[in-house]
Amino acid sequence: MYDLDKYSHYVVSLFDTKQWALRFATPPYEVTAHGRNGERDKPVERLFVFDSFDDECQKIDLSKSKMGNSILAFPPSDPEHSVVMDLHLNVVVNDLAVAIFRALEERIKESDKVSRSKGESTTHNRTSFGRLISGQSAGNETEEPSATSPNLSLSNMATLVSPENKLAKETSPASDKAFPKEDSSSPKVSKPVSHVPIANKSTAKIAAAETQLMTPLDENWDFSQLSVRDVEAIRKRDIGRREKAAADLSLLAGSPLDAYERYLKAAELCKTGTP
Amino acid sequence: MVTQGTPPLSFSKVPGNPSFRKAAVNAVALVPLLSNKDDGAPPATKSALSFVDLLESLRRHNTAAPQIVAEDELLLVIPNSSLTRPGDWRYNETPLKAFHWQHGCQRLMLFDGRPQESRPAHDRLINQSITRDWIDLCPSRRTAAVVGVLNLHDCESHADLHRAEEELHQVCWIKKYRARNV
Repeated sequence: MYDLDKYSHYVVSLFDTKQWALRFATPPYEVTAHGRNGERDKPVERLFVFDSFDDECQKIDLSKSKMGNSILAFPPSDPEHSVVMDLHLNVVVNDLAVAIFRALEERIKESDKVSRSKGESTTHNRTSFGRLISGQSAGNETEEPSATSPNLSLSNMATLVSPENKLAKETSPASDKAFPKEDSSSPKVSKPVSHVPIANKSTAKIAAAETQLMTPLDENWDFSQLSVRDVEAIRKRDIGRREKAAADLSLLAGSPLDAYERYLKAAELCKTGTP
Repeated sequence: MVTQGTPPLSFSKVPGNPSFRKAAVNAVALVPLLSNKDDGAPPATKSALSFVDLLESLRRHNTAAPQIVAEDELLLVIPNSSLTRPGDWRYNETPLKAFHWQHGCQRLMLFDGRPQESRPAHDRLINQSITRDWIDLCPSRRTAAVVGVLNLHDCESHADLHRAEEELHQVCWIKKYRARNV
């Protein structure tokens, strides 16, 4: 006679295991919180060890632990040692708070570093396009879009910077809108800049490899398929988001004044990054 | 008529009533090691008992400033003045230029890290669509630290100690509480 209770319990635990594996699986979207490497967002580790001073436990040498300074021995937790326990907890909790603060500090540094790299690449692109507009593009610079492309008119370059730019209105009075209709009768009307495929493959690869701050509502774009304008918009958006995330981390680190400054800066970046 | 001294009631209309104070709290998960049973039965190991004792000690330790948010959470407010400034910390190297080691505080929210036992752990490990998936937007939803509790009476040899470390570091808890690995 089988013990049905035992087997039903076994089936339930098997079902639970599958559910856990499914629940702990990586979400379907690819780009994640602090980049593609989840290790960078690893929480601070601590191992609290009790009864390490008992005679029965002396056979275990805590110095052989792999956790190094993260392993902390605790006094007995009985009422007789409550005072010692409170003093010990004070030290341990303070140490944990400092470790979390340092970890947050490192994350802010990383975020600022990524922001700087993104800002520099944006500046580099602006410089390249400035040369394109002024007609000083060197022939050997294959990374830049071709100067002979019909899309690289002055009005398009101006609309790339801003649809409200004076150049966009003054140099193309017939097509003063940033996005002319495709069914226009004039064949000379250039296509919108947003449809210009990105010519700089290496820049696209770098941009695709860069970490992004994303939410489940965002789509993970293939940068090589996006136009220059869209890539720039995504970069600007990410710089603003990164500043806001750094502000949140500053708040978590217990520095509200730094958070306030970064929130203001993030708001400004979002204003300038939004067309 | 508004009585003097009565603080004005102002609740956010955003669901969840978010506040800067809530956004300034670091979550810390406490988990008993070598105490996970697949059958779901309550563990009777020494580590589980030490875990309960530690929670009680933390609550008792926090009586000076009782900041209990919920039954399964414990909010610790630690003044910066009581922290020990690390020796290698420099103002010209930190991005937190306005941080002061004598002013302000650190906020830690400690909770039972077992998802069957507490709401914060359940949200972080099971209901990830409202926590881990959004930590880019709300970094306060991440888990700042994972603390394992181990009683050496549960360790027969060094192999058991290493098994507990593996459980904390790789196999289970750290991997569960960190951001997703791509």
